[in-house]
Amino acid sequence: MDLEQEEEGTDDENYEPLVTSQNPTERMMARRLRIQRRVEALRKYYFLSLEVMINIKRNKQFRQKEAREKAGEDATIEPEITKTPIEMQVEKSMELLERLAQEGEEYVTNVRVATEARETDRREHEGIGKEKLLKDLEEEAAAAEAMFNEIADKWSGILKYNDPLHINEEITSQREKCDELIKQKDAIIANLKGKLRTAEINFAIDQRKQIEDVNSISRRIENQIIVMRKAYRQELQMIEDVILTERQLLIEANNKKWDELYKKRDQEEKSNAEKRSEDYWNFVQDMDNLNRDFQELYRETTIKLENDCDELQRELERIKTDALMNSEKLDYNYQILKKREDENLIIRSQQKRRINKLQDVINSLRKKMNDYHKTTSQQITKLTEEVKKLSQNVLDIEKKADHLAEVNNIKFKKVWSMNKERADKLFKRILQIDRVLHEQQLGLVWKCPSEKIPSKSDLESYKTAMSLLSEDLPKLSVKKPKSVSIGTEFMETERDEEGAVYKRTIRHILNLIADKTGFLIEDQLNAILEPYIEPERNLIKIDNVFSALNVTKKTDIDLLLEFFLPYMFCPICNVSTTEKPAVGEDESVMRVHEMDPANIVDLPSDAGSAGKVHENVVEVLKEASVLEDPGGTVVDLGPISVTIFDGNLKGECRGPETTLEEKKEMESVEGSLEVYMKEKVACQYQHPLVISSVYVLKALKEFLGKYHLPKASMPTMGARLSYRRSTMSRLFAATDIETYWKKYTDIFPPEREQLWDSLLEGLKKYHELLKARKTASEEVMSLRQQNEDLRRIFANYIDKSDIPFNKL
Amino acid sequence: MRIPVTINPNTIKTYYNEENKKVKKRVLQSNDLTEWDKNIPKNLQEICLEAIAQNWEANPVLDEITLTIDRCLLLNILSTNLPLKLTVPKISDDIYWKRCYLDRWPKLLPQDVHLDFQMSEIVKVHSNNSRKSSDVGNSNSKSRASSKSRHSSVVQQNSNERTWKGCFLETHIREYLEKLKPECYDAVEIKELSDLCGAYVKILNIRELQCSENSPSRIPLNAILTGLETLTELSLCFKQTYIGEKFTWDILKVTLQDIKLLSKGLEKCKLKVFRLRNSDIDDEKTIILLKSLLKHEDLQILDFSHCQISDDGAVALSKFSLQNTMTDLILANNEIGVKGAKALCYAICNNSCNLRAINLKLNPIMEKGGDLLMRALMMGARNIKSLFLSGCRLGKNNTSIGEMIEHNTSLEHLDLSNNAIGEETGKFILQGLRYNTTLKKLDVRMCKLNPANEFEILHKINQNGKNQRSSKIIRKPISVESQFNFEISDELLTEIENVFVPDTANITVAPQE
Repeated sequence: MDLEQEEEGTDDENYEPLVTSQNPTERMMARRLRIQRRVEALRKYYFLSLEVMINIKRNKQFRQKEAREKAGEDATIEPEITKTPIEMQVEKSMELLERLAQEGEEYVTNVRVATEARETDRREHEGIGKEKLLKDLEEEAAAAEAMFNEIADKWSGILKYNDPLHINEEITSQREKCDELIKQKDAIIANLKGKLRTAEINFAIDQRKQIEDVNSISRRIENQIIVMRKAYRQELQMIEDVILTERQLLIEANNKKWDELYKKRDQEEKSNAEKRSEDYWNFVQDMDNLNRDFQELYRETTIKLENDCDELQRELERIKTDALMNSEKLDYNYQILKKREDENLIIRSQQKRRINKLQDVINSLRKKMNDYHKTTSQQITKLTEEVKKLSQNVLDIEKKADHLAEVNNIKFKKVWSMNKERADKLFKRILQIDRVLHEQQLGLVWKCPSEKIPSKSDLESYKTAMSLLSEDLPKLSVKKPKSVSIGTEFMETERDEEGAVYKRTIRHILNLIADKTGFLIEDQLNAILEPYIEPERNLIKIDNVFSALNVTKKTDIDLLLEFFLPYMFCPICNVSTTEKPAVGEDESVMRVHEMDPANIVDLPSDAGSAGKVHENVVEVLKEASVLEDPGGTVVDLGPISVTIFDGNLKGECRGPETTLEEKKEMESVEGSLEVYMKEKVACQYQHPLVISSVYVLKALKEFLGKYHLPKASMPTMGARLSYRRSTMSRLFAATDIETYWKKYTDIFPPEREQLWDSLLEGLKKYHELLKARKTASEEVMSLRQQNEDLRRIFANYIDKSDIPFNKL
Repeated sequence: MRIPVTINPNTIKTYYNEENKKVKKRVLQSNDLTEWDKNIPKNLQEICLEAIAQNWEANPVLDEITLTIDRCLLLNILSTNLPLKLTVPKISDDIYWKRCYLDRWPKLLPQDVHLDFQMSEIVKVHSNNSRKSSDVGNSNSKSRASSKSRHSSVVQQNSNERTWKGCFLETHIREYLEKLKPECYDAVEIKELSDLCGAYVKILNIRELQCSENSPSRIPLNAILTGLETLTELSLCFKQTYIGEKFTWDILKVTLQDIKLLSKGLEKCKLKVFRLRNSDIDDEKTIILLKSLLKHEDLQILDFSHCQISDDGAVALSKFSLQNTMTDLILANNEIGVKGAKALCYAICNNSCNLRAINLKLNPIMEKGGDLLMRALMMGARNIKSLFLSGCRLGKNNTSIGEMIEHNTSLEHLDLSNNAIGEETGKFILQGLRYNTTLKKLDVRMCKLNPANEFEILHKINQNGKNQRSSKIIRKPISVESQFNFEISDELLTEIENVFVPDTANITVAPQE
């Protein structure tokens, strides 16, 4: 058993059920196996035939295709064909070979499967056989044991017997039993031995089968290898064929192409050769022509040249004679020139002497000039002092004049009003009297005189004066509130969101200014600022810079911002806000070019220390020089001139009115600008604007130019001298005043005056009359009195007699 | 014939053949160029090298020679019988080792070694020549060198390929161990050998082991295994191929002592492939071996075919497969029954199992075991790519095979040959194949199927193999929980869990015995 198992272990057992076996099951299995193999063989055959057919078909197709290709159809290969014939063939071959390999594998493994099948069958049978055998053995053992026990039990009984015959009988019976047992055992042993023999036979058969199987496997493998090799070779051959045909086709196609090219080349060569020969003949002809022409030309030229030669010979003769003449002349000239040279020598020595003399004169004159220069400079200083004084005086006088003008004006106005009052009063009385006269004396309807009372406004000079005054006055009166209103507006807008952007922009600009205008700051300050942090340093720097530029007010900073704005751009949108810088640049450049170099030369020597401010100064100076009044202008240069000229011309300033006015003007302008700037500090998307550091100095420069310009262009001395203190009193024309007052007299027409004259006369007469009547009446009265008195006296005398009289 | 190193092997090949043809055509001796250098006297260089080669044993000089041509020539004329002690550390060029190998085992060509076409062709030519004339043997080797020098450089480029040196030393050790009798075992000699060859031997394939005359024990393998550091592949067989007249049962037996020594040796190795085939290995020995193999992290193939492992061994193996990275398990022709199959089912259904292929050929797992395996494959085992169940005594009741084929999406190779599963099951299989797209090989030979069905099955499988694209109706796999736990009795579970535990006592006792 173990041996068999071992055998199984080493190799698959080689046991094939035989049809001729005694075992019916084995026979059945053998038959089954046979049927199976037949079926497999059939199937394989079917497969093979199928494959062969497919192959044939494919080959046919391929051949057809080849034929077609050979026919030249391959030139028009459809673009949709992606696989080349080689690839297709390779694919086909791969498929075929794979299938062959698969079949071969199956073919080979069939042996293994068959042996495995045999083994499983054997195991099954062995299992059954083993069990049966064991059962039999066990049964037999039990029976044998029972028999043995029976025998063993009897021995004790036998020992008790005394009868030898009996014992003998018993013993024989025992022996018989033992023999039976032994026989039984022998039978079993024989049986087992038989089984062993069959097993050995089986083993031998199996071994033979195994060898056969191994042989068959090796045979099959060899066959398979041969088949596969053949198949591979065939496929390889086919692939090679395909490649060759394709190569052939390619070669043909290329050959055709080459042939065409060759043909083309031949043709071209032929045509070229023809062309060349033609050209050659043409060329030969041309050469002949040229030669002929050249010969003719040559002859002509030789003749001409000979003629020329003759002429030239003649000319030469003439020239020779001329030359002789000339040489003589030149000799003469040379003599003369020699003489002249001698004379010149003499003259030169004389000149030298004279030059020495003149040098002395020049030296003395230079000395004089120096002296004069000194004196003139002293004079200039004196004169400048004087000019200062004079200008001071002028200012004082101006102040006085202004004061006087005002006072005069007031007085004039007072006198005027007083006179007017009086005239009006008189006029009113006249009117009243006239009316009384008319109504009471003449009994006529009174008419108001046609002419009215003259008014001031009708006067021409008054109108002009008013218009002149009103030019100045409204500026003062109207603009102030406006600026205030803008100021309030500004306050409001500051609270807006824009304020933040505005502030940020301002900060940015200030930082840049602090960064870029280091030259305006003293080195010592820089050293001191070294340890401080950036913002603090910047603050102090800006403070210094502004103090250097005399920027003190917030509005100035806004103005500054306005100058920076054109250079600003939005880093996010990357668009310059306006196109202004170009204009500004042009202006500044032009201004620089306009500068008279003489002006620069004229600069005081100490201006050079101001470093870069120099440029600004030049600009300012130029402005000043344009005004042709050096004395006054320097005074008006303002703070910057003060810093540059070291207080030379310090302390001079303009009249208070004008500066105030100017400032107000500027404020109002700046106020309006503020709002404008507010809108401009941010781009359309509200991004904060940024300025390139390159433009900082330029912008600053422009700012300074513009900032100090208005101050420089304030009314100068000449303007001041020509300035009219135009008060009412001065503006009134004398004739106008006269005509005004005269009008009062012209109110009443001369008829009415005549009337009055005549009336006066009449009334005078009437007065006389009345006077006479009055005296008469008075006489009457006195006479009556006298009469009365007399009567009473009479009465007293007559006494009461004549009363009737009383009745009278 | 000597061919200069500078000539391209391809050129030699083409010209050689043409020359032959010419010779045949013209029959002119003067055109025979094979002995072109016969009358050319050797130059001083060559004579020097020959002298070096002759006295190499006394004065081994190789690295001192700088010129490649000289080195090649020297390696080509150096004797192949020099002692290994000298040559192994000194010579690393494959030219020499290939000569050694081919001289010693001319018929036993090694696998995986770079044996390029041109070279073998040339070798053949020269062997023919050498038969004719013995004195050209020298030039023969030279010509070989010319092609080999190039070849050796190629070999050195990619280190993955085996070298001739390694092959030579592996074969040497194998031969030594196979012929060594336990009575002649010398520990010092083994140590020396392993020290010498340890760095080069990667594959050891011992086909037989001599048995001592009075006891069944073999030579102890622990010493040699611990000595070979770079060993990755070990194949063993504890039997003797040729016994002759001295048959005893001892030859077939393997003692426990031998196995313990082997396991002791295995603990020091890092193997990728371990094969122990056709030996008297029962469950106990299996467990001992598996325990020592547990630490091998790179183990890929484990082969116990043709042994006597039964259910307990299978339980141990299933536990082992859960704890190791092993991917291939070959248990062909063992005695694993239903219980073992159940344990394996549990293992392959577990997520921590790395097994890709299981070979259970010729194991009596019976219908029940087959059913269990099919259910496991259908429900949980998604990693298994190939399964061999030929001759496993599956029967007509195994209709679940069809269902499994229908629902499984991972299995690629299934061998069911030699199982009398009957026609009905064949129909089920055919039905299942309608939905399967992954199965590429299905062996149903000798399964008592209807021939028509069998043919159809074969056809469909072929289709599966050919076109990967799924022209078939893809059926959604039956809803399976990702963590499918194979139904298993608690007793078996505890047995699986504790399979290595109680034996630790044994293994600790073992060395003392």
